[in-house]
Amino acid sequence: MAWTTPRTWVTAEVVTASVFNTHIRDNLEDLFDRAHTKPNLTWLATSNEPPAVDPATPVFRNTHPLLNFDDATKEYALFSGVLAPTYTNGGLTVELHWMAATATTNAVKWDVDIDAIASEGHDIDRTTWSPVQTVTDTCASASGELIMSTLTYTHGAAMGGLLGGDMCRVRVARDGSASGDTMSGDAQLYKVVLRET
Amino acid sequence: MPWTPLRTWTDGDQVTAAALNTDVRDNMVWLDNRVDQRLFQVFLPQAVQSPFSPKVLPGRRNGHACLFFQDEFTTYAVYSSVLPLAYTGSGLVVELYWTPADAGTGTVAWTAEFESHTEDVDNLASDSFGAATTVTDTVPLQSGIIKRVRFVMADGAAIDSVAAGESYRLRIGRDADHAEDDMAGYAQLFRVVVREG
Amino acid sequence: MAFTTPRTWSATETVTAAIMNTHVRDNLTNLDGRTGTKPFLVWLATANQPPAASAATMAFRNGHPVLEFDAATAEIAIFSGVLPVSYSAGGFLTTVYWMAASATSGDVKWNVYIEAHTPDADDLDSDSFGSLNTTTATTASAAGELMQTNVSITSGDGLLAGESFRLQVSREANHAADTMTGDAQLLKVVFRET
Repeated sequence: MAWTTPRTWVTAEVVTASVFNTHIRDNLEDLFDRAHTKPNLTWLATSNEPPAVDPATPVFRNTHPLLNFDDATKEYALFSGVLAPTYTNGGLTVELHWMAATATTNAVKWDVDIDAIASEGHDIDRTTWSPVQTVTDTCASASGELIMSTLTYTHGAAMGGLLGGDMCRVRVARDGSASGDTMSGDAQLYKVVLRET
Repeated sequence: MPWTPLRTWTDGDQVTAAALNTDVRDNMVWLDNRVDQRLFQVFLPQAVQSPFSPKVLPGRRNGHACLFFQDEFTTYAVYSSVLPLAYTGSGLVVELYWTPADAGTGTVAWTAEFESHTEDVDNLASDSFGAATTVTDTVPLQSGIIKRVRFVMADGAAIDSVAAGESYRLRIGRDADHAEDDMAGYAQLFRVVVREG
Repeated sequence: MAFTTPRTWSATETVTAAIMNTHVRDNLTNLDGRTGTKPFLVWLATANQPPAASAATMAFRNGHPVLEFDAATAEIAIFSGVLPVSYSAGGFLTTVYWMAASATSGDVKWNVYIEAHTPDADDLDSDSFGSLNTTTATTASAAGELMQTNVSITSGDGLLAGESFRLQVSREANHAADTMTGDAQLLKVVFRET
């Protein structure tokens, strides 16, 4: 909703619905959209906290730190953070910035799930992942060029019940053995963004 | 006070006090309370800078990176950043996400101190942390349950007068010598958050 | 413009222009000025992703991690991030937080370059930094005291909201304008929307 410079009201004028809608309804709507800081977390490949089993492999490509995900064995990367308390239950979007190690065609299937760690309630010794969200995207037309794949989570159980102010982890995996994952060679994960939708 | 979806005004409406109070007054109050909540910084255990002795110990718990603060003498974790320009001078809130390493009872005395780096004034060759703020927190019902302890620190001397846009360090400590620190064993710190109060 | 506590409206009252101007126009204007999340990215020296050649040197000064830039040879540091989607095309500013290793006078010429990573277009196998953005700044009055030096970004390599990018910071130590003796020590870099 676009912002309109607030009008100056004049004594004795006839105030119409159109004026109210533009200067009150629409401006308040615009402020609402902008007012809160939508959470936005960015992780580089170097932020990975590798799991004990089947971790993605850290590598460099032209000095860019990356995580290599095999095209056969399912491998994982983990990223940690806190969801800002300004989260307004709008659901989450995860963006994966990745490229093919060598391929120039075919698709990769990414699986992403979320671990919500609520204060005063959740036992950190037990991990409960949200339902997995998946996205299958075709690699860039040239190896070395990035693709941004997007996954969305509706607020609630789909994101593990994560709330503003909670600690969280995001787990990224490539399901190389899935039927939709047809790209040969490694998929190289560059960056991950978690933000309110 | 919750946000009320905005009404669409219609010609011929009788604009009532109730409508203006809900759509204009209450929604503006909601916006006023939220528009300044833009500052939110998260520090993971990996971000710690430990120049001080004795050093806090890095470790893991169920794959989660954490820092171990012992019960015999005071140890510190130091984090470094820049205070965003969004800071409006309302003071800062520092939140620690922690749990005891072992089951038990008692209280931990946490401390927080800021060191501002004012341009062309503060010399980084020597430390200049402000006065420490101490908050005590009782262990959760069970080891592994995350507790969130909060320091509310007023603008000015309490945060060493860090200003928007300034470099700063934040030193978190467990004051194991404090009269109220009687929890046996390590306290494990998982996240530190700095946000506007 | 100050915010006025929103009034409680009463049935049958006469709503004047003055009331509407104070409680609607002016309050909306106030809120407009306070909203929005301009991107503000902070990198510490430890976030450096050193280039293959002419890399700035990692060091510590009283426990502060710093990157040391030589006084004779141009050296480079590189930082990586994603421009938040909240970027509203307001332009960019880079602030370098630095100090002299030993000098108490003289100038340092800081250069900044942006490399945007447009999906399915830019090949990360070769560097593609944009054009030079530069400023020359005088060191603090004492070694160990910080300076906050702003480098206006006139060439952002077409970086868009939501895009991955890198930022290269270098000291052009062999330039005539760079007169400070000894290393320049970089503590932090901020990249933000203006």
